[in-house]
Amino acid sequence: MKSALILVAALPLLAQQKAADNCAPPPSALAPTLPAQLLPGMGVVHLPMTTASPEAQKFFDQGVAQMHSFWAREAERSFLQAAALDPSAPMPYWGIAMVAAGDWRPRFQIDLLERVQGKRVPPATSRARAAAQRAVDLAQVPGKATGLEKLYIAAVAARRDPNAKEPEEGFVKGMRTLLAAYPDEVEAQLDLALMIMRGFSLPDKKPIAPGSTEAVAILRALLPKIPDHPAVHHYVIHGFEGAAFAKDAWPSCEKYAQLVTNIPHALHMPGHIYSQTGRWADAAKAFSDAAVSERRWMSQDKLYGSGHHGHNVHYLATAYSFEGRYDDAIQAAKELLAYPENPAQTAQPDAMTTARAQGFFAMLRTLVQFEKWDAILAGDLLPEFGKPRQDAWRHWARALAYANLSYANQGNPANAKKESRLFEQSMIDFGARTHLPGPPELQVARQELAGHLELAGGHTARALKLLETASKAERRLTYTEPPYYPRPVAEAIGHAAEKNNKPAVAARAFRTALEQYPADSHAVTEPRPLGSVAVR
Amino acid sequence: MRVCLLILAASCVLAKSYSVDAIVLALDPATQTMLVSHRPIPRYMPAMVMPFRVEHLHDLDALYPGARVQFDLVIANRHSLARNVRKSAGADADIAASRDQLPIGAALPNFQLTDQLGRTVEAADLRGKVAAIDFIYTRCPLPDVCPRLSANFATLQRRFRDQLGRDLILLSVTVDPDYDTPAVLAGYAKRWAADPSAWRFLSGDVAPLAAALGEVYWTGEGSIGHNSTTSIIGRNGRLAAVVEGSNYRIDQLAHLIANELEKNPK
Repeated sequence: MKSALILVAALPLLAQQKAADNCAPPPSALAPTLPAQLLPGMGVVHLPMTTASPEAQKFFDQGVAQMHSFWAREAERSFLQAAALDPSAPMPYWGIAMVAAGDWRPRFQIDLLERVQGKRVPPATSRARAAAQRAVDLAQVPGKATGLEKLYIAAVAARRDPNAKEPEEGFVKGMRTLLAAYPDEVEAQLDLALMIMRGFSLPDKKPIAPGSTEAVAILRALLPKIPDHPAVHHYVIHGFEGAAFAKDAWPSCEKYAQLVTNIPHALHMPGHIYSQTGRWADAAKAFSDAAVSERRWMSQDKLYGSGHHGHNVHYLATAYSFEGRYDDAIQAAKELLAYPENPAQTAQPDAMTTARAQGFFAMLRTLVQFEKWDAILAGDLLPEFGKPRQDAWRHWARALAYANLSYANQGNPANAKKESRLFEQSMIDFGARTHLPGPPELQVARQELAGHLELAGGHTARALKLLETASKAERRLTYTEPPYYPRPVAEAIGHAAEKNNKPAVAARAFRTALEQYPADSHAVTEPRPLGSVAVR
Repeated sequence: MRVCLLILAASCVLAKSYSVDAIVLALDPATQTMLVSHRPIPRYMPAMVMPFRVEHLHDLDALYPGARVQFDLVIANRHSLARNVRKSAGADADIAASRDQLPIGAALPNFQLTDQLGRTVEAADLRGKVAAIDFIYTRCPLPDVCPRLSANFATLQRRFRDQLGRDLILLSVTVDPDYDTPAVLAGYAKRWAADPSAWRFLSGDVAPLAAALGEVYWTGEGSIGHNSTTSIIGRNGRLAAVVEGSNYRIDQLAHLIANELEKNPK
C-alpha cells in the first residue's frame, strides 16, 4: 500500500524504531490553551449544533474543518473555545472526543501503526474519553441535542469506550446507524469513508478490504455534491493513494490546496499523489507551500515541534532530487540538518524521524543521486551524525565515492574498501546500541556497495550481476514515502552500463527505475553515442 | 593449602547474596562505607536506612548523595559487604547532563523567581534552612511524573510538619513558565494543599536555576519533556544531594532530607 504514512511507513523501519509517523502532526500530550482565534484558510465547513451562541457555532465549525485536515491540536483548541462560549452544548465535547487522541486519520494508517506498535493509548486519549462522556451527559439534558447530534455522540462514545475491543468498528457501526436514519448527512458520510478506507496492496494495487472500495464509492458520489468541502478532497487523496487510479485524485489535489490555504498538512498532502504519479514539479510546489505555512506556525507556537516539517521538507528535497534540481535539494536538506535534536532525541541510539535525521537522509539522497562524489568525500555537506545508522550510510556513500572515482581513475580503491569496512563496523555498532537487526535498507546498501567495489576493480560483468541482485532486493523493500533508499539501484546500473558501453542494459535499467519512480530525471533513456556519459 | 581452599569454598557456599536497590544518603571513605536508604530486600530486610561497607574503596568514587545505586549485598557469617556497586538509571528521560550542572558541595547561585503569591524568592531566602527543590509543570499529563513529584512533596509537608518553614523549605519550580503564571501556580498549590509559607511554586526565568541543578527540559510536538531532578540544598547554601527521576520511594527522599537536617541541626 502506498501509504501516505509518510516517512516511515516502512513496517520493518517502524518496527525497529517504534516511532510515530510524521504525516500528520502527532497527538498533543498537553491540552491546548485558550483563547482560540478564528483563522483564515481553514476551509469552510458547517455542521449545525444546538447552541444559542453564534460565536460558539463559528468556533465549532472551525474545529470540524481543522479536524478534517488532521490538525488535532488546533481543532481541539477551537472545540474548547466553543465549549467555553456555550458550556451546555454537547457537540464541542463531541469534537474534542473526535480529535484529542490524535487518531482522526485514515483507517489504513491506524491499522499500520497498530500492527507495528501494538495497541497504544497516548496520554491524550484520556481527554478524548472524558470529553465523550461529557458529550453523552450533556446530550441527555432536554433540548440540548437533536436526534442527529445524539447519533454523532453515540458513535464517538463507542470509539472512546475504554472497554471496547474494536473501537474503530464501534465508530463505524455508529456512523452506519446514523446514516440509516439520515442518509443524506454529508459529514457522517465523510467520517464513515475515512474510517473504512483500508488502502491498497502492493504491487498489484488491489483493495485490501471491501471498505477501500466502499470509501472510494462514497467519495466519488460526494464530489459533485459538495465540491467546495475540503474534507471530500482530502479524503479522496487518502482514499485513492496507492490505487491504480491514483491519478483520479489530481483534481482534488488542486482543489484541496485552494480550499485550505493555512494548514500545512493540507498543502502537503497533494504532494504525495503528485510524487507517486511522477509530477515532481507539482509535488515540490506542494511541499514548498506547506513548508512556508509550517515555518510560520512553528515560529508562533513553542509546542509545535519539527517532526512534520522534517517529513515535509525531506519530501521536498526528494522531489527536487528526482526532478533534477540539485541546488534546491541541497538547500532543503541543509535547512533540516540545522534543526537541533532535543535532549531525549540526542540520547536515543537511533533516530530517523527527527528533522535533523531526515535532513541527513535528504542530503545523502541528493549527493548520491547526483553522483557528487567529490562533495561526499569533502565531508562538509554530509557530516558525521553521531548515530550508527547514519554512520553506516555515510561510510557507504564514501565507499561509493571512492569506488566510482577510482573507476574513473581519480580515486582510491583501497580507500573504498576501508570505507566498506567502516560501514560494516557501523552495522555492528547499530546492533550493539539498539539490540535490533540491521535495517533492511542498509542490507541492500551492502549488496549495492559490493557491486560498486567490483566495478572499481574492473570486473564489470560481476559488478552488474551484483547490482541487479541489489536492485531486486531494493524493490522488495517496504514502500515508504519518501523512499528510504537513497536512489533506485536501477539508476546506478544504468549509469554503470552506459560507462561500459552496454546501452541495452542501461536502457533496461532506466526503464526499471522509471517504473519505480515515474519521471525520474536521473533515469535517462534517450539513446546516446556509445561511450558517452550521461549529463545530469 | 587444601584445607584453606575448602574453608574458603565453604564460606562462599554459606554466604548469601541479595540484590539491593537504594539511594545514597552519605559517603564515608574513611570507613569505606555508604549510608543508603534502600527498598525492601525480599526475604531479608524491609526498607530502611543502613550503612554498608563496599568491597573496594574506589566503588565510592562515582557516587554522591542522592545517587541511585544497585548492588549485591553479600552476607557471610562474620561480615556483610556491598559488592558490584553500580549507579542505576533513575532519570525519567535518559539524557545527557547539563554542562552547567553544579557539583555536589557547590554553592547555589543566586536566582530571583516569583512564587504563587507573587512574592520574589531568592537564594538568600533559603539561608540557614534545608531546601528541597523539584521541577514540575502544572499541565503535565503523565501521572507518574509531575503529579507524583508533587504528591511526594505533599507527603514531605506532612512528615516534616514541625520543621517546615523554620528548618525546611520546599520549592517546586515550573519548567513551563509561559503557562504557569503565579495565578496558575496558586491554583495548583491549592490542589496540593500547599502551605504558602513553606512550599513555594516558582515561575519566571527558571532556566539558570534549572541548568545549575541539572534539570534539562525541552518543548515540542505538543509536550514538554524533562528529566525530573530533585535537589537538596544544605543550610550552608550548598548543593547537598541530587536525585534523578520520579520513581523513587518517598521514604528515600525523606531520609535524604532528614539526614541533611540532622547533619547540621540548628
